[in-house]
Amino acid sequence: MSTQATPAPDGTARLWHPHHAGHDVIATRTFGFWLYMLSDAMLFAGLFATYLVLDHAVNAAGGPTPHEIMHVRAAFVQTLLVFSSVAAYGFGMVALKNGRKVGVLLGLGIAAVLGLVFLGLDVRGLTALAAEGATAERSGFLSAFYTLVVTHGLHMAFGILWMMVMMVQVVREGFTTNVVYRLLNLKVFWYFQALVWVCVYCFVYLRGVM
Amino acid sequence: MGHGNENALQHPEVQLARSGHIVFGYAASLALMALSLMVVVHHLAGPATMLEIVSGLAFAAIVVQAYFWLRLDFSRTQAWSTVAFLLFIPLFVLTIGLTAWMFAGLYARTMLPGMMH
Repeated sequence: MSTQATPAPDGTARLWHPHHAGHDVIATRTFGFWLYMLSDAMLFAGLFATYLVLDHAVNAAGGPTPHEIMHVRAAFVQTLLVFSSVAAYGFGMVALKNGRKVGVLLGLGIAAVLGLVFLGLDVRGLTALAAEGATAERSGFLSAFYTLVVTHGLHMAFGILWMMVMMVQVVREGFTTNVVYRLLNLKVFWYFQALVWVCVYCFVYLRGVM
Repeated sequence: MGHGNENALQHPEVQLARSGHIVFGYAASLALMALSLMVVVHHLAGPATMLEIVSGLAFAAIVVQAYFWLRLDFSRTQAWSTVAFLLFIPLFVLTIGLTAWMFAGLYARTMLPGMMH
């Protein structure tokens, strides 16, 4: 920022820049959202820390142990779904770069559908566990496991809801500044879910069967 | 504010999007996770070694996704986000790592031998 403002036409000094372009609205909002995202990651840090404490044998309280409940191949299918959903959203963002509304809507739509399939598998897996008696209340280990998986699932669910809202906004408003920064924020949010899932897959599912 | 609606698509962050990066990030992340799965399913090493290998593969996947998907680099557009991320990583690792270490020590020191496994 320049400290040398141009004088007023009559020669008096001015302390502001009359033709300053204004701050970058989009960058301000995306950076702010990025900082929020990092705080959201700290929420997951707490959940991971809790899980690592409670997956010890004593916290199984005589109930199922990690080895018994982790289905790593099914979880790999979920990994495939999350990554595919993120890729679809990414292609939507390429369409945004090129100003193609249909491309953006397709990207959002496919990402949302794949996300919903992921959530369906999540729900199916957890209800199957609960049906066997491995409910969240059964042991500290299971409480930690359910909380971590459900928290990630809730993040996915809200992301999908946000995608649907954005699809409506893209159709109604087109690519305004507001719509664009929201799409960028959703991009960061969605990519972050894939990043968190890498940690969930490796340190919860895979580690559970080692 | 200063910029009109018609300029929104020209914003550097919108212009970051690249199909090639999406595809590479996708393929690489998937391959790294598939490799992790293979290592574990086929018990290619002892538990401690497998954990190290999978941790390394997870770290690689995170780096790949951070660069190719989140486009975190030191360009003018992204530098602050990258710096924030780099400062956050130790916080994340220490929160989880120190907690796990504390309780591993606690368990070793306070639990009856029969309860350990």
